[in-house]
Amino acid sequence: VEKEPRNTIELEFPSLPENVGFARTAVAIFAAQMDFTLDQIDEIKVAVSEAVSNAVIHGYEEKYGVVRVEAKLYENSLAITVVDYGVGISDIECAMQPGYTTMENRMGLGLVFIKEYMDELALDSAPGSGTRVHMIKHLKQGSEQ
Amino acid sequence: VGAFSGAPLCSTGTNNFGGGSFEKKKVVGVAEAAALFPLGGGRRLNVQTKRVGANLVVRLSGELDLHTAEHFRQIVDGELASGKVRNLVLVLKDVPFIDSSGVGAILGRYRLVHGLQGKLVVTGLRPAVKRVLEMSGVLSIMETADSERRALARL
Repeated sequence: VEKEPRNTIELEFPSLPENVGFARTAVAIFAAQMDFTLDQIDEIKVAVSEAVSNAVIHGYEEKYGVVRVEAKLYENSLAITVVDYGVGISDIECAMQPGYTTMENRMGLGLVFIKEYMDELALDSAPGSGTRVHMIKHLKQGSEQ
Repeated sequence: VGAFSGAPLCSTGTNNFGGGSFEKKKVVGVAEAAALFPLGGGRRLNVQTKRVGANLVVRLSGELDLHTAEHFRQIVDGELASGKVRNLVLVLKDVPFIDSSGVGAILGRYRLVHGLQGKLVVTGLRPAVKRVLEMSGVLSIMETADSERRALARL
């Protein structure tokens, strides 16, 4: 991990569904300071959208709460953290399974999409203490493979 | 528990979908990125519907996510509840973005139509949208067509 970010943004907003679009757009425009391709920008948008939607739907169960999004630009990567102070996740391993959902009519794909579109994903959560979703996108895709 | 440790759940290196992106060398500048999302992404999805016999053509314009999917759902479900419509053609050519909430809304309408012994055909998929739909597995159950006209011909 690189030491100091070259640039950072921090956003805080109420857990309203209309802010999901705002958050992904803001992060995408911020990310465009780096040499990401259009495809990569699209991937970042999906990942942010999923993480913020999860905060709204699961973290706060569609009640009022504050969602925090931090994005940091490093030399070769973008790190994004989406935080809620809601109910938390009791079983993170289950939550990561494709198709796993605690709600009817949801697909259980949010975290699966983040996993596919970002290079790193880690969840930090406990019941009652909210959830932090950490995601990293490297500038050069596939260079490690 | 509090401290974040990347160890057990931090998955890296098995990214199946990221690999293809570097053939497109186009890099986005800040101004260009802002131009890509002129209304800030939070705008309402525009939903236009047109009845052709028992078929409902639904043209969407805008981004399909948690917020806008609700609007889409209400309009389509209202039409289906009228009892005059059995098949759906979803025209997505003006939809540049979809996430799992949007996919869930499309899948939900697919199920409704399926329950009416009808069909759902999607058309106008942009690459980014197609990729998300493929990843969700819904393209293996839903029909796709190259154009609205061809979609209607399938019904």
